[in-house]
Parts: sequence; C-alpha cells; structure tokens
Amino acid sequence: MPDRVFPRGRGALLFLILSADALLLPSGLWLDALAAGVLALLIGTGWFALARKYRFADGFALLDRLPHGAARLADGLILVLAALLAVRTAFDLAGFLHEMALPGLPVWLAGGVLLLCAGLLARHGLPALALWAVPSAWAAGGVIALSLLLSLPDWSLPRLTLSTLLAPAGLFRVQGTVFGHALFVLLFTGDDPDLPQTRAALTGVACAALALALSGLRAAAVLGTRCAAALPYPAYTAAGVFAIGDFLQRSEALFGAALSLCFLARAALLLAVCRACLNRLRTRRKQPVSAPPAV
Amino acid sequence: MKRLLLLCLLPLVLTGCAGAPDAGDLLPILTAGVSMDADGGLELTTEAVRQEELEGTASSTYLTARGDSPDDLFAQADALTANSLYFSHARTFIIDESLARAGLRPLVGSLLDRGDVRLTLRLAVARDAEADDLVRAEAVAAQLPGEALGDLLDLRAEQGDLPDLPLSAAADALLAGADFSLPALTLTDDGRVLPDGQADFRLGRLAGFSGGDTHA
Repeated sequence: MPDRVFPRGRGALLFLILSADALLLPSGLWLDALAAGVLALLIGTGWFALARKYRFADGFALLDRLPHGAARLADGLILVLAALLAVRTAFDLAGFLHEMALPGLPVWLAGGVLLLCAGLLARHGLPALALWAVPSAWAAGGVIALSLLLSLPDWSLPRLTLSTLLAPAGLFRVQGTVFGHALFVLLFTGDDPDLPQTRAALTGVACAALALALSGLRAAAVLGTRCAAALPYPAYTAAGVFAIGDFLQRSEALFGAALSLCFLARAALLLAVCRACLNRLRTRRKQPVSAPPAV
Repeated sequence: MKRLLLLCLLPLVLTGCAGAPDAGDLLPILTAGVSMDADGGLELTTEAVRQEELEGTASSTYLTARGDSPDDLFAQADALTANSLYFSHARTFIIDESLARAGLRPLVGSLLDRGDVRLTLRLAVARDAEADDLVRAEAVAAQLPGEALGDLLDLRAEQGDLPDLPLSAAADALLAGADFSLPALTLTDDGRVLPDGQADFRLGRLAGFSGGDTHA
C-alpha cells in the first residue's frame, strides 16, 4: 500500500517554505505571485513527468547520473547556495522580529538562535522534517486563512489602483525569489511507485501561491496600494486592521507567528539540503572513482 | 543532554538577561498631539498610561518634547525618559491647525516608519484650540481621557457623523495626492473635547474646515 504520510509531508513543506514570503512580498505583486504560482505548477508537473520518464526517485538520484566530478561540483554548489539562503532566511526573520516585535533583541542574536532552531529541526533529515511540516502547515495555513477571512469586511476594492491590477513585470522576480526555493524540495522528490507524491506536492505549491496572492491583495485592499507600498511588512500590518471584542486586539501577532513558522521551515529545509549534500560529498570521497555513486 | 542544556539557556538569551528591554520598559501612549510654532519648530504632547501595580488603577501622565522635524520630534520624545514611548495602543493623534496647513506628508511618513504605530490610529485636527490643550483635557466619564476620546471618535465615525479615516486610509489618500477629510476637534468652555465638523485637505495641506455644531 502506498505510504501517503511522506508525500503529504513534502506538500506541507512546499506550502510552508513558499508561504514565508507573504511577509516580504510587496503587495503590488499579488497578481505576479498568482501567475508565478501557476508557472511553478507547470514546472512541477514537468519535473514529475520527467521523473516518471527517466525513472529517478529524487533530484539527488538524477545528479548521480552525472559524471563523478560534475556531480561533486553540483553537490558543492547546492551546499553553498543552500547555506547562504538558510542564513539569509534566518536573518530576514530576525530583522522582522527586531523591527516589529522585539526591538531590544539584536538581529545577530535572533538570527543565530533561529539558525540553531532550524538546525535542530533539520538534524534528522527530510523525512523527520516532512513529518513535522504536516501539523505546522495546518496550523500556519489555518491562521493565514482565518486572518484573511476575518479581515474581509475591511477590504476596500476601490483602493486597488490599476497599477496593482496590471503589473506582470514582477512575475520573474517572484518566480526567482519565492518559487526558486521550491527547487530545493524537488531535490527530495521524484518518481517512486511506493510514494506517489505529485498530487501532494502540487497541492502544496497551489495553496502557497494562493496564500501569497491573497495576503498581498488583502494588504493592498485594506491599506490602499500606496500606503501598502510605503510599509516594510504590508501583509503583516494589514492583518492587524480588525479586532474581535477585547480578546483579539493584536491579530497581526498571530499572522506574524504563522509566517515565522514558515520561515523556520524554510531555514530547516535549506539546512537539511546542506546536510544531505555534505553526506554525499563525504561518501563520494570514500568511494573509488569507478564505483557507482550512492543513492 | 548537552542539547537540552543549550535549549534551557536560550530563553535566558532572549529575555532581559541579555540587557534587552522588555514590555515593562515601554511607556504606552494613548493620545498624542503635535503643534508647530511660528519658527517651524514642532512640539509633541503625549498622554502616557502609568500603572504602578498589575491590579492598580491606571492613570495618565503627560510628556512634552520639541524637535525640528517629525523624525527629530519622535527621537527627542523617546529620549525623554528611560522608557521608550510605545504607540501601539495609541488611538488618536491630534494635529495643530498650523501644522496641518503646512502639510501632513512628513508627519505621516514618520508615523509609517515607526514599527509600533498601528494603522488604525485616528488622525484629527485641532479647530480653534491647541493640540496640547486637547490632549490634556479631562474626561467627563470615569475613564482615561485618551480612552474616552478614542471611544467618542469611534462612535461618531460609526454613526457617520465624522470622517471614518484611520491612518492607513489617510496615508493612502495623501500619497495618492487625493483630497480627504479628517475629524476636527475643539475645546468647549468647560474644558471638554468635542468633535466639531471636519478638516478638508487638498494636496496634503489643510484647505479649511467645514460643518460643525459650534460653527453652524
């Protein structure tokens, strides 16, 4: 019987790592986020079609088909890129926490602590991370959806200017900065008859594209296009426009916590990629050049 | 075990043990008013909430700071005491007529730059009164003056008697170069704050007042 836990975990991980950018994405790019999501779905579909055709279980298995030197070089490049992106992710979140929530907490300290937490999450590799991702994605996705739903009465569509509605120039920017992170998850996905993962992965990408686009649209509709453009974290600020009685006065804090979870998942995934690449480089060093590479 | 010890130490790093200010070091502001003198200097009056004990009654305390520009003004205000001013609970920001006529853009820009200012903050313009006097006016009900004023403006805006324009909407209109109106506030002879029509802005500057019971 196919194991559906890990595919679902991969989908959840994709949702988390892509939704993180709802915090940083300029609200004017909400339509571009949607278009980039559709493009990412097409790329994902193509990836799984390729995996079926050429029968590779994941991206690393595909790398193993390269010549020994080229595979080592690819592993090294992925390792460096993932490490740099992990540091940037942790410090993006640390900057947000410093500016909006904990001004007394130095950015370097918050960034270091977040990297440490991400490292602890990533230490058992992707399977454990994917298992952790399922409840986290439900929690973060639930908060994002609830926040969007509760703020609906405050939306004012006349505040959306034409420049917001017709700005497809940012498509490739969003594709690179946001959906580029999905490539790291693809390293762990492919064609495995025991783990049918296409549907879960594409669902994760689609939900993340929707969360990104709706968060940006909400910011522009609630704050106004120009006001949102003048703020460093418009999606976060827009989440605070409504209050429910006396017990939920700071709803943006919940929204920020959900997105912080997404950032933590992204940093953990990138560190898991680093760990996998390091292991592969070590294994290759021990193997003779003529031996078939380990999968 | 080493990891567990490390995790136990982390909360110490994140809180006041690292010398970082915590919530107790912040001075919550309820209402603020800014006015401009003849030389272009700005004066900020803030109503801060002071509560000695958790179960004790809160009381208002007033602080005044001066500066050359809105950014300088907020920096001077933050430096007044050991506690940083915290605008997250602020409900009303009153602007003097002279400053409103000079233009709101620098002030609104400074407010947007502050991470602690919520965009649900209501801007209002002082009409035939000083912003400082409006901030310091007593409340009729047994409430903090800033709370009472915030409730009054919310109620009148809901009833449609006043422009319902929080900071986000005012900033958007200002940045778009659109006309907009803010509530006008005045001081009665017995020292109460009352809404008094609206202040109409064109190109970010006060063009005049309209409506209001005392000017009918």
